Amino acid sequence: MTCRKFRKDLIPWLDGELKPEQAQAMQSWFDSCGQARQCSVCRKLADEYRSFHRAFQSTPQTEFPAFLHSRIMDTVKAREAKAQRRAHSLRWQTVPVAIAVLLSLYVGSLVGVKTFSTQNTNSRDLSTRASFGENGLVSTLYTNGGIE
Amino acid sequence: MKPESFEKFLTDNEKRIYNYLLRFVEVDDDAHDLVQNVFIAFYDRIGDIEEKTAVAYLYRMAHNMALNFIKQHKRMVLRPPEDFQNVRDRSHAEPEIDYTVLNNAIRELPIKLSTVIHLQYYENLSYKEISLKLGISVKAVESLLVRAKKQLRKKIMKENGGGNVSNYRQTDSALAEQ
Repeated sequence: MTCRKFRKDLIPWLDGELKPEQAQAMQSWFDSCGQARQCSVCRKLADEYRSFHRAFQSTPQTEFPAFLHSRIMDTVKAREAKAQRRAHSLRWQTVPVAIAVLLSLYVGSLVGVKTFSTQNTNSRDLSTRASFGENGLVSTLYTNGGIE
Repeated sequence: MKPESFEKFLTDNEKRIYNYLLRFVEVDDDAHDLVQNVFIAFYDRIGDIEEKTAVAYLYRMAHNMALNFIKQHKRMVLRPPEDFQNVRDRSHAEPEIDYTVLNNAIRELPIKLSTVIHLQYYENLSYKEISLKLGISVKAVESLLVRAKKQLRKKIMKENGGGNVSNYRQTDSALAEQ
């Protein structure tokens, strides 16, 4: 044990947190501190930290007011209820939104199908006329376009 | 943490946080408001908080809210006379110990240090119990407490004008006798 070691473990020793053999060594060193200057520093430090300890331990504790507990719980319950109402209304709002999306997809697909089938009919007519040699756009192009 | 466990957590920790906040504010009404704000803010974030470190988180919130409160109220504000009815009565001479000096010193400590000091001295918890409460190792608790007490000693010595830490008791006794 040295003064340096003593000061390093001083606070855990005063807090009663050292193992018994370490605590014993600290106590023996403290008791055997003589008139040497360094030892008086160790004692002074130990006294100061002990006075801290007493001061803190004697600080009065205040009881928690009972009405505060109820007030906090009332606020928390009000928030819970509000969150549940919000979740409930959000759930209901998604139903019309989902219906609107499905409806628009359905209508869109109907329009698409009709448009596509109309285009197909037109192109079939053109190719049929062209393949049977009727006068049509194709023969007009060849006549007027100077391909002859 | 689950919202269902909030009430038990409140019951277990309300007194310690209330006493912790009283180190920062003088008026009981202010402490009442602060403690409510702390626990309601805690509840708002409860889903994101782990149970293991919930107490440490609570202390951090309390500390930050208290400091913000002090900063906001730093300027002198005219208060109606009835507010002073709730100020702690310090007219009788404290026999030896000036808690104002201690409270001021604790107030200036960083959050982690003031938390472990509070848990050790005001709750009489051992290093092991503090480590379980805060979710840190026993060695970490020891290191924090050593640092905290060294800093407190320096601050109190500075308050006493460089004298001994234990001199502040003598000064107040001398004042009380006048």
